[in-house]
This record gives sequence, structure tokens and C-alpha cells, in this order.
Amino acid sequence: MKDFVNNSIDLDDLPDFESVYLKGSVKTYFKKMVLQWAIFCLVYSLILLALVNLNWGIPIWVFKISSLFAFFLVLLGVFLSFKRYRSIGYALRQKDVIFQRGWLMKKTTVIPFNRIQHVASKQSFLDKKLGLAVLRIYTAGGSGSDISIVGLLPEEALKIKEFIIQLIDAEERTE
Amino acid sequence: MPKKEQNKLFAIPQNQNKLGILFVFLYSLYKFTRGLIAIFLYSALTQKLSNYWFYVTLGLSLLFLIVLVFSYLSYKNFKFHIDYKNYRFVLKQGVFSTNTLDISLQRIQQVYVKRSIIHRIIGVCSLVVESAGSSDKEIEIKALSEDKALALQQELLALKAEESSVNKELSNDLLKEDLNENDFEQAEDSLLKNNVEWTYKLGLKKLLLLGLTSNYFRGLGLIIVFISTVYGQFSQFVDDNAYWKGAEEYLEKEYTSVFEITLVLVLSFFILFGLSILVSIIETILKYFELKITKKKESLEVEMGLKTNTKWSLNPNRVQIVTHSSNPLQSRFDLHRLQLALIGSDDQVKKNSLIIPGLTLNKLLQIQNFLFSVKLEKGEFVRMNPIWLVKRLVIISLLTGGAFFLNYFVGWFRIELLALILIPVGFILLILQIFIFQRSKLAITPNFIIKSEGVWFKKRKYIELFKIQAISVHEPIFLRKRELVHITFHTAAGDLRFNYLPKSYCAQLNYLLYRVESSQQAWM
Repeated sequence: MKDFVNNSIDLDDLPDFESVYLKGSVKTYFKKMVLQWAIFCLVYSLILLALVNLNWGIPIWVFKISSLFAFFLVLLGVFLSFKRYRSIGYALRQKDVIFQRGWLMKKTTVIPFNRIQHVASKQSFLDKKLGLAVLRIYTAGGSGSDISIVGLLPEEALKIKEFIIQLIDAEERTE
Repeated sequence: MPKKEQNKLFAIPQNQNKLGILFVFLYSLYKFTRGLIAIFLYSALTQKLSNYWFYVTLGLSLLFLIVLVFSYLSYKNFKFHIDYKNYRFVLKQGVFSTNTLDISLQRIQQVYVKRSIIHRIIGVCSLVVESAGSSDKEIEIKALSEDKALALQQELLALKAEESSVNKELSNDLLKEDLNENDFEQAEDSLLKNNVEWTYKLGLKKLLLLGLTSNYFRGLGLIIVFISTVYGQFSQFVDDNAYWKGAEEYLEKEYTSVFEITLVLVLSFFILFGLSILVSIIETILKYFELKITKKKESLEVEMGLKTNTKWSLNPNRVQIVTHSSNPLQSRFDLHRLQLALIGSDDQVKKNSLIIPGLTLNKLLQIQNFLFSVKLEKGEFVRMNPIWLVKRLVIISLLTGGAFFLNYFVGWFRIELLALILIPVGFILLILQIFIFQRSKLAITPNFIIKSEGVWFKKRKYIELFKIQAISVHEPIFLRKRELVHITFHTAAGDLRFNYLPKSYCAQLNYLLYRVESSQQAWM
């Protein structure tokens, strides 16, 4: 305790978490989001087509509006995916990990290494095909403070995971 | 060696108190009755079952018998013991199948004694053991004599403390044996001395006062929930359309002037108000009956409740957020409330928070001093950016105006009636926002995060910096130009959020991170 009571700390001298350079996600992540969106839109169009051919007496103007809506949906999806892809960034510092995401609602989370409970790297089916990985970092703070660093290369995710695990282990040994 | 054997009270597998049969029996009957009461009431009212009384009696006796056998078997097959060698608490249960639960003492989070009304009638109590784990987080030994329950509680907590200290100091198995011997004696000593520092009891008079000065909106809410539940239960049986029509006609005929409508509104308001006070008092008494706090050297024991009497043993490490609250009436009578957010085994924050009401300021400060690892210090408070207030004011004005505008076209209500309700409500809401704005404050001191909030019911929340798990900064797009952010502090027992702060305030977060990252203190 005594080491920490130190009133003369100058806030300007402390490392600033906001001025850290954040590493962005790989371009494949943008591709993945667009691909997911394309699949969704494809299903939507197929349902529309099927309904047109089924002749259930739905007036044709409904389909016209739906198709127009679908077109804007495609544009909106691509736009939002791009914004999200550009908004993602992460950084590892000596003592903590910083993760930023979101365009409409930008959120930056900082988790000190000595508060991390465990780390897991995950790959969905699509991730495996495209060569992507997600790194999930769990804290005791519950879902609010857990983070999923998306848009990583598998080897990158593995490297970070091992780095953090080794740090946590070292911490536990000194305790 | 014989001395050591004596200590191991719970080494052999044992049953609960024999009264446990009675407890399980009564409890199951209670549950059955609750489930079947609607059917019985319905059939009694309509006399549909009166022709089959023989079968009904037969069925009921059979049910009785089955429940009795079930109770006996569940008593007989329920066995628990402590495995002293491996530091585990072992529990076997199951009526037909056998289920063995095995908990490492180290993972036990909390042990407390609980007493429901059935427990009190029979004269036993139950012991609840909470552990941190993915499944089977909570186990309950349903019927123990009070002495035994307390002894088991002490034993589990002492062993848990001992094991973690052993783990920390040595991992050498050879030395472990010797050390155990010493620790047993130490644990026993502390048990014998029972080092009580002080106790605090909440008398009936203070309890009544507390109910009288508490939040009536809660009482009102409870009334509304009660009425809607009862209505939902009985609306299936009663044809209510006739009533509604009658009421509507009556209203249309009799109440035509604004004055009369006002009178009815004011009168029903007062009746509802009186009922709310009554319900609040009853709820307070039920929840906090015989509140008793015992301060021991290393723990704080809290006991309360009429319907279910619960006893907690609090360790400062488990407390993550401390909230001190009071309203002007209560603080005049020196009644203060302390709410403690505890580490839970899952995300449910509400469940894992302990409320201790009716404390004098002096006692409250004493408890806070015990819970905090350092002395509380004063800090420099910041407020939300005034943009927040402007936004709220605009939204309320727009909503009120919009309601009038809509009504102009739809014409559901008469304009006088609408004005009578909306203008005062809108005005009160506007004033309220100003007070909310004034009261919401945040400070980061060298050791604490302090947040003030609440207009009537004033709250102050404290988090010790080393208990922070992570920080999040939100920048919604509509606030980016103004350089405003929302900050969330995450702890293991819930979050604390403060909105509309200037971005420059993030410099304080650098200090906070520095404190967390250089801290060697265990946060739990």
C-alpha cells in the first residue's frame, strides 16, 4: 500500500491511452462482413422471388417496394460494414490491452493484464475459409467488459493469446 | 492425535436433523397447495366436483402418502461431510438416483444461515453454500439445528481461510501437516473467543419510522403488480365486459364537469397514497425485521427478515461497490441506508446486493471504514456537460407539445382534461431534470471513484480503485463534435457509468489505469 500513496503524480506524465496507435483489422474482415451481408440479401431475394411465383394474390407494388428496399439495404449494409471495418483497432501495451470498435457508437475498452481471467481464440466456419480469427478476452466484470477483438489473422491471434497467457502466469507466480 | 479428531466434527457423512423429514413434507405440501389452489377454489365455487368427493379424497390421501415417502427418502439419502484431507465439501443427495456434489473449499464464496416461516415453526434452519463455478453454484442443506448450522458455517469459513493461506505460504506437502495442526488451533481459538467488537440492532420503533419514510413509489408499484396479478387470475372466470360497460356509462352520465373529474382524481390519488404508505411499511417490516449487525474482528455479520431470516457473513474483499443513500426525511431521523454490491457467481447484480437500512450515520461510517482498505478522501467533483440538460428540456417540451398536437387531430380527450394532467406533469419533470443535473457528480480521488446522484433519494456510490476490472469510453456520433464522452467503470459486481463528460477528463483515466496496473492488492 505505502508504495502507492504518492500525491505528486502529474497527470500529464502518465502514459495516455488515447494517444496510442491502434492497429486496424485486416481487409479480409471487411470482405467477410460483405459476404455475410450478401448471403443475407440473397436469402431475402430468394424469398421475394418465391412469393412472386407462388401467386398468392399479393399486389405487385408490394414487390416493387420490397425490391427497392432490398437495393437500399445492400448499399446500407456495405456502407456500415466499411465504417465498422475502419473503426476497429486494438493495441497492446506493457500493462494493458486497448480495443476500439463502432462508428455510430464508438466504444473504447481498456483491460489491464492483471484483471484478465482468461483468453480464447475462436474461428467460425467462415473465418476458417477466409483465414480470420477472433480473440476473446474475459474479465471478472462480466459481459460489459469482456471484449472480442475481431479481424485478426489466425497467427496474430495466437501470438497475442500466448503473450497474454504468459503474462498472466508470470503474475500469478509472483503473487 | 485425539485432539485433532475432536476438531473434525464433520468428517463422517451425516444426515440432516430428523426434523428435515417434516420440513420437506411441509414444504412440498405447501408447493402443491399453491399450485392446486386455483382449481380447488374454482371447483368449490361452481360445485362441479361435489359428485366425485370420494375420488377426490382418495387422490388427496394418495398424494399425501407419496409426499411422505418422498420426504423420508430425500432425508435418508441426503448426506454431507467435509473431506479434511483434500479440503472438499462433499454432498450426496437424490431420492431415487444418487447425486454426489464435491466442492473445493477454496471456491466457496459465501456461507449463510437462512430461516423461512416453515423453518421457524419447526425450529430448524438451513445453510446455504455459494461457490464460484459454472454449474451448481448454490447448495442448500435444508434442515439443521441452529447450533450445528453455525458450527458448520464457522468450520467451512475457517477451513477456506486456512487453505488459501496454506496455498499461499507453502506448497511443500511435508510441511503442510505441521502447519495444519497450528492452524486448527488458531481457528479454534478464534472460535472460542468469538471476538465480537460491537453489535447493532434495529428496534421495531425505528423500523416503523423507516417504513414511514421510505420510497412510496415502491409501495405503489407493489399495489399495481398485485392488482394486475389478481385481475389476470380471475378475469378468466368473471365476465368483466358488463362491469366495464356499467362503469363507462356511469362515468359519462355523472361526471361531466372538470371540477368533478379533478375531485375524483385527487381523491383516488389520496387513497392510493395512503395504501402505498401502508404497503411500504409492511414490506419494510417483512424484509428487515430484527435486523442485527455483529462486527467481529475480521468479518461483519448481518441478520434480518421476518418471512425468510437470512444471515450473512461479510468479508470486505467481496464487496465491490458501496452505496450510501438517504432521503431528507430519513436523514433528519438519522436513518441511513447502505447497499453493498457483492461478487456473484454470475451476471445477476441485483441478487448479489445486500441492503442494510436504518443505520445511524455513525454506524454507517464505522462499517464503511471496515469495508474500505484506506480512509475515504475528499475529491474534486465534475458535473455532466449542460448539453445534457438542454437535451432533456427539449425532449420533454417536444413530448408535451406533441401530445397536444396529436390530441387536436385524434380528439380522444377533452383539452381541459389533457391540460390538467400534462401541464403539471411536464412542469414537474422539467424541474426534476434541473435537480438531477445538479446532483449528478463524479470524482476520482487518489483511492476512490465517487459518484453522487438522486434528487429525493440521495445516493453516493464508492468504488475503490483497485477493484476496477476494466474501463470503457463511449463516443456516440452525435456527441463527437462537442468532444463529449460517456465513461463506464466495470467491477466484478456491476458497472458504474457517468455520461456527458468532457473528453479531457480521460486524463483522469490514465491515473486510474496506472493505479490498477501497479496494484498488488487482491481485488477479491
